[in-house]
Amino acid sequence: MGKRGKKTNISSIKERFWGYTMIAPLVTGLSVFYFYPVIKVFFDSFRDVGAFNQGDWCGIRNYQELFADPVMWQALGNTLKYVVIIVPGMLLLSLILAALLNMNIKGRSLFRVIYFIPAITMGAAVAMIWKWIYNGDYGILNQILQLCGFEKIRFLGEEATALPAVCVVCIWGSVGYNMIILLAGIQGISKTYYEAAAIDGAGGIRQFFNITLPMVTPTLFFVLITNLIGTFQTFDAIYMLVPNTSMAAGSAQSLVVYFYRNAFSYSRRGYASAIAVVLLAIIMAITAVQLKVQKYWVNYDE
Amino acid sequence: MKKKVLALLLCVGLAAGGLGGCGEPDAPGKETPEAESGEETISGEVHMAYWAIEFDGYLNRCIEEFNKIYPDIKIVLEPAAWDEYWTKLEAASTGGSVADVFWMNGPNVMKYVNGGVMEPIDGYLENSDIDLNRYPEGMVQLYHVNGKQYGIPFTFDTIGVWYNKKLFDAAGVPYPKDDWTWEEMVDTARQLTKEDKSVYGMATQLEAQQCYYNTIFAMGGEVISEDRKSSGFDKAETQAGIQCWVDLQEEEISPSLASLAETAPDVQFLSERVAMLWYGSWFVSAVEASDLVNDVDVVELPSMNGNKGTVIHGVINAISSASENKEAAWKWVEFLGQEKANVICAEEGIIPALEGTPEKWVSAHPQYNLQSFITSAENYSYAYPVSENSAVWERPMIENLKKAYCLEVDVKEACDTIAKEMNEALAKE
Repeated sequence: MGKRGKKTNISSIKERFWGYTMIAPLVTGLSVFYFYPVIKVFFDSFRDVGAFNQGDWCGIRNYQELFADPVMWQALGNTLKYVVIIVPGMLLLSLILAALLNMNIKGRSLFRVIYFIPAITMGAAVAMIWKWIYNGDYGILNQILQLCGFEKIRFLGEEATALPAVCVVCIWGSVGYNMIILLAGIQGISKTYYEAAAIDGAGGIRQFFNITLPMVTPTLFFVLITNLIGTFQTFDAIYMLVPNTSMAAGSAQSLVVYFYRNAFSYSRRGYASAIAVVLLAIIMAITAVQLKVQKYWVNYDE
Repeated sequence: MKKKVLALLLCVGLAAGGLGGCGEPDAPGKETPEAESGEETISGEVHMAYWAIEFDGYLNRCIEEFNKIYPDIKIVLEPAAWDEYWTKLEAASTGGSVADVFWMNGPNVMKYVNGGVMEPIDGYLENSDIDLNRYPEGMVQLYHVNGKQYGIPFTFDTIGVWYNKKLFDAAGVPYPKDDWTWEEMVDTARQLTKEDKSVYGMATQLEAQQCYYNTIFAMGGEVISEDRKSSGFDKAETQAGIQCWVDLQEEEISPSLASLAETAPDVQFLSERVAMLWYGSWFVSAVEASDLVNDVDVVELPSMNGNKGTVIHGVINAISSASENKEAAWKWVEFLGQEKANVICAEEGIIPALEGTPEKWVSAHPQYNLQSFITSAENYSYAYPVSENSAVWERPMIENLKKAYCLEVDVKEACDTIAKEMNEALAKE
């Protein structure tokens, strides 16, 4: 709109200067720690990079190898399983909890704090505790199972149970944080809707499904997107709970864990970069679809 | 306004600190000109990375002695867990922030030499009283790459069978002797295994150095040919050295592989769940620190068809080629190779490498049959099998052996697959 002016006046230059200066720290940080690595990873995915960053161009060989690699497909499958189990499970639980903690119950603040604790605990520490809970020889979960007359289950050591066991930890760890966000969304809903509904004779459940749920969809959408991306990148819980030596390592390994092992354990950074690029493409595609589909279920009406 | 100024000052301070942080430390007493022999003026900070936290006692005592000679060199220890050590070391080497001195082992030495991360020490050795002939030849050779020496071995290790005397007594089983056989060992393990599985006779670990490399050597097989050009896994003798472990898998005289993966074998041994454990000589310090200090002993590995074999391996202190303080780093490495540090090593429970000091290790811990490790090192030890890029074939080796141990595929099939993949990898080296 300023295009038509013959000269950019002094105050506008000043304004621009300060504008750019103000965002400079952030932009520098982002460039160094986000944009540069993304570009570098993209380049490296076409190089045969080994230990100590030595390597040559190799064209699309990394990608050819990638698509023929059964372990990669298994890791991708595992990642999708994580997403399909964790995201809905977490959404449902945190929505229920948020709705419950929005009601007038005794010790409400205390409960909020308790449910939020996992969110401020370090992931590695959480995983260590769960590792002991799940332990097949000494774990408390197995002690309880045995007391009840069941067989021991080696949760993290068997192919069938390792992945669900990790999912439980992930859900447990993220429910509190998402609950707080949803709670904020729920509290933003105007009381007048509820008052009107109450006058019309709607009960609590009816109010939840007809007022709370539709009105909280923008928040829900935000939580969905962030968690979908986050779950695709699940790493710490898997890395800590199911180490490479475990019998179930292959069946619990997500794409990011496989990326990490290639880059840092097997010194195949070029190949690892290709994995990262594929993962980025998948996440971008799914997020794009989400943004398109949102208009069918997200309610932005005032 | 005040705040602004303060923030600015802080920023400048940070920037300056970041720039100058790697330079020489500003030790206040540095310029005192009283040093007599010239050498003692060397100063600076030397960071040291290593993977065994149980070596802390040894290293701290060494630092104390070292600082009596070089009071101005500050040694900063950077311990890491074994699993993370190599990841960290490689990342730090790539980023140029690797410790000045770091531990290096056989399987990784060629990779780090080829990566240009390690500094050859030949030049330093010329002006030193260190005589490489006084260290085990195999160990010195392991770290002699492309005509250059990359370190002085400060420790070596072999494998033995550690056993829990209490559990033997409880089961009424006689203690093993150094001349026992594999069959006797299996039989002993059967007798020690309790019916309710609260105690297992032994642990059939999927571990190369502690377990199957030893039986491969005892059976007369090889992991890799002498010229490091081809795999030994297609040889019948090698496969027999694997088969003996797989045969035990069905017997239930050991915790399952899944259990051993979840709770480490040495932890299960020290928790008295496993009565016999194939493990290295480095275990002494952990045993001495445990509740079982007086209830444990060790014997030589059992013979198989009349033959024995054990893996011998040793670690060096390598100097980083990126170090800004190589002179001080060398002084520390040199000290760790000398008599005094080797004796401390012996006393702290680790076999020292210098000629004449391993005996001190044996006599410093008279309650254990440590002579067995020295005997095995002298009489039937085999160098840890390595090639230029061992990690590339070690991974398929472990993956395929895992399948064999789980009885998913038979040993011959698994080993033939390993041989094929290994030969492909070796051809690329």
